[in-house]
Amino acid sequence: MVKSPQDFAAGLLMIAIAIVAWLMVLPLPFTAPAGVGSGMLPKAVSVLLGGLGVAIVATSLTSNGERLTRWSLREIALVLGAIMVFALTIRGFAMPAIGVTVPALGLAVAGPLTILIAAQADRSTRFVEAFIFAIVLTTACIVLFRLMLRLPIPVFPPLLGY
Amino acid sequence: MSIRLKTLLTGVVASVAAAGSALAAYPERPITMIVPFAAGGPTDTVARIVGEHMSKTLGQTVVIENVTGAGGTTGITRGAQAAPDGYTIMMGHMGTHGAAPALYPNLKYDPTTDFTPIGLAAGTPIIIVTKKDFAAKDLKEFIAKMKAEGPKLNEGNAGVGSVSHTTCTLLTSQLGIKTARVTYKGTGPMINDLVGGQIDFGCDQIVSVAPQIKAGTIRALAIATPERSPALPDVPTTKEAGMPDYQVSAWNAVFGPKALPADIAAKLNDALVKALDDENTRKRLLDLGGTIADKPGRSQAALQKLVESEVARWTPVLKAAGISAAVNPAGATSGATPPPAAAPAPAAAPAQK
Amino acid sequence: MLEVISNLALGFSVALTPTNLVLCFLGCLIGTLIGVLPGVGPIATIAMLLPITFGLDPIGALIMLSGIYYGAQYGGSTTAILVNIPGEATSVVTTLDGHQMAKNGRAGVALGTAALASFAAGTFATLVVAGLAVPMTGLALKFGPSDRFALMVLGLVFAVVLARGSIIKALAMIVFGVLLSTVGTDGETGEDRLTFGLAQFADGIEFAVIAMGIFGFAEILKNLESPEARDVVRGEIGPLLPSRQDIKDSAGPTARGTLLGSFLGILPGNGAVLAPFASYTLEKRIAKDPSRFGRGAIEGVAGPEAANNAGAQTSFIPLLTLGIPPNAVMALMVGAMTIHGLIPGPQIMTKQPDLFWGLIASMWLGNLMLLVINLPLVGLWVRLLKVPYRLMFPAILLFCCIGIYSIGNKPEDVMLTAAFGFIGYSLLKLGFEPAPLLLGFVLGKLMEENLRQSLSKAGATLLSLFDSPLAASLLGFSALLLLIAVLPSVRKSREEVFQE
Repeated sequence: MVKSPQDFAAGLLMIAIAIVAWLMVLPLPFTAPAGVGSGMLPKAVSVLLGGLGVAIVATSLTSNGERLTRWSLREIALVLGAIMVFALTIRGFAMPAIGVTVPALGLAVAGPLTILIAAQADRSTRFVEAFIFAIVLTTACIVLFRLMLRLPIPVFPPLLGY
Repeated sequence: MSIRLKTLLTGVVASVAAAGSALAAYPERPITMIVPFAAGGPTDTVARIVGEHMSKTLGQTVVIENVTGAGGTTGITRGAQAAPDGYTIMMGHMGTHGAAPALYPNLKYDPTTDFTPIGLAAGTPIIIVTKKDFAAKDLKEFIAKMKAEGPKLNEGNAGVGSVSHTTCTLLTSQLGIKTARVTYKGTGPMINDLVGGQIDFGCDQIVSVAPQIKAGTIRALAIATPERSPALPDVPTTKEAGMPDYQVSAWNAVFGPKALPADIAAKLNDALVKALDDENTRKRLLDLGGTIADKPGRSQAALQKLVESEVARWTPVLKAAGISAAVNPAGATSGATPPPAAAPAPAAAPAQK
Repeated sequence: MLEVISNLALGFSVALTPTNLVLCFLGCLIGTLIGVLPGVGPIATIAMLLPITFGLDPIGALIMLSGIYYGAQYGGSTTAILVNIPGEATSVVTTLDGHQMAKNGRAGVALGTAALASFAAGTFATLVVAGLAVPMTGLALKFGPSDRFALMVLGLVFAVVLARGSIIKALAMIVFGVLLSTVGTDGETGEDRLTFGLAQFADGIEFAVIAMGIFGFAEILKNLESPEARDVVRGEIGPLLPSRQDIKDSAGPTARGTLLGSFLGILPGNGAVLAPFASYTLEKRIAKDPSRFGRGAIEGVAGPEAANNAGAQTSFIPLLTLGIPPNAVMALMVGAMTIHGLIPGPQIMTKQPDLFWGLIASMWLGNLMLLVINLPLVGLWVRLLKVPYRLMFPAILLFCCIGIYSIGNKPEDVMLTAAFGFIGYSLLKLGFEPAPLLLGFVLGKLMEENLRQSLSKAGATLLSLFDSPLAASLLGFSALLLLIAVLPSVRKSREEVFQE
């Protein structure tokens, strides 16, 4: 009988990570002519992690603990999505595997886009306020990072020059 | 605000103009030079010193963009895939354009065909160094000791693919021996342990070891160039000291992506040549212990030849040592023993003065 | 002694010229302002700002760069306290109690304590650098790979003590952190480990990527989920400066932290990262009520901040006396010096005493200026917490994105950080703490390197790890400490079992 669902899941996650890591480093040698092989630490560590996972599961069966809480999927999608949009559009991104090339938009476009998408994750966001804030903050970033610090971060889409 | 507007307007005007008369006025916006190593390292230093003067000649800033990763190959891959418009160039290196094909089987570029060579900038000679109280006093004694008890000697290196690693591999492969290799993350910690006497010897670029040699905290056995370095006039060359075949230098050279228009490449080469003729630039490079390419060595053709000879030289040496940074480890180190390096006739060291 | 005074006089004569004073001030100010942006740690700040010093003369440039370094480090502590994002490994500890203090409405006190503790530590460390640089260098050189390995093991044990809740879950996080540190191409053999075949992982994972992911982004996700929790920070602003009692409470920790930091800073192989952890462990151990730690104990800010700053300062010793950089920031300083035509090495002290002593004098001036800059800024920073969260979090997000992108100019790093944001959120949901993971990550890397160095020497066996008396005693001490930390919790859980 599981008395602490949170710990139970936590332990299982550690065990899963340990197994994946163990399988991935399986071909690497534990020892080498020089002493420590490239596999020694990852193997030892995954065994240790698996053991700790088992111990966490074991305590979850005996002592009471926290329940699992609902995941806020909408917020995760919006926040991480906003970060991905920034990564994909800041200097363009080619994904030959699926035949898609995201055009480069530069900080001037990627910045407000990131802020506006992320802001949707908070229900109290007001669009006009977020929009003005996005423009102001992006302008400040361009002035700071590009004009003052001269970082090689793309600012405008290449069509308009660097 | 007005600056943004101005940039925007110049941009629009520029793209319209470019459409009309292609490349009439190259360069009309800043040029990005990719440096595939971290800011502050030897290659970055050379790039910034040379780039500063190139900016003056070209009339546009040369912006240094440090794109690090995988022994410099991440940045060079990006440079190789950039549009051949002259606005993205890169500072290549002995590692990225010589040793990389042997070290990275999944390399996404071919140093000999995927670039437009622009010109050799500078080299930093390799020096063989030992801890200060090491039993061998000169290179001859060192070679004898290495041959007698190689596996008992601790060799420091800064990790697979680093200059100290590849050049020490060349050294031991020419001597036909193996040593106990102690790996560090970077040159700094390795020099630290060499000064502290924790390891016996190593090979590294002059810029990293010269101050220690001058202060007597480590001992230099030989410098791997045809002539002595003005920065360390007391250190004999490998030729004088008894290992004439060991000629190696960590060179840095400017490349563009493949199919760069000839006039743009010529313009960039001209800017590089002018930078290398400038008194101040020369002084700063020489102070580092660097060597500056001589006039014939700075041509585009000479660089292409250098890259080809370097790839030909490093591939057998590194393959024989069984080292590679394969993305698929299985069999990378065990299987497929390459034919014994048929005593790689070391290509003449890059023509440098 | 007299010599030190005359040397310091020379130093101040260099550092107090109007130009150098202005440069020092500018460096501290810019460093603070950039370092305070979440996502931009000291290393990134220096790398970014390196080019703006190119036009200066070498001494001025170095003075400014050192100012940027302290400033960025100080700014990083501010971010750690205000928004719970550590800019680098040494400010991880500050997030523990510093951010809790902010949540308790004591952000101003935490920031003020950090500033005062840092200044006190900086003053002492400057004297250490001036008076003891040479003898301490010799000591540091005696530290071999096996000693450093033992030290890192001790550090990992400290990480256990950081745990607020379940010891066993903290252990799992440390071990997970060590596992993450092994990702990347093996430096010795070139084999790929845990890279999923992706070139992106070839050089391992960047510290900032993990830190921004599991602290920054995961924290945002958690806050969005529970609007009540994030409002606490916006509650009362509270006092802006530490009270007399606060100062009294932090005096002891500051003194102990300073000593620890000064010593650990000179060790090769980045000993300075251990300083804040060691100080935190010590304070928690000797505290009358250890349970206050992790809930906003002022000692948990004062001690580590002092240790952190002292360590930052004394880590200049190997650079100045040997020309060998002990960590990534110092490596950048070497680069900066070389670009300015100064090649750091053992001779810099005798050949360029003006540079050597000028820099040391400017260290102290820099610390003083940081105090002057930061105490008035405390009010401003604390008021920033009043910005509604619906605007604050997108701003943090954008700064983090720009900061991470700027480290290597690679969009892939930003994507990876998003992935770590998800991992961090999952871990938080399962009741894990992120701080031990980061520690395991930082120390795991150093531990493996030193372990392999010790064992790849000719003729080394596992027993060689105990050859040096120092290494043997450090390892023994670690085992003892681990036992003390783990045993009570084992006993406790057994009691719980029996109670039922």
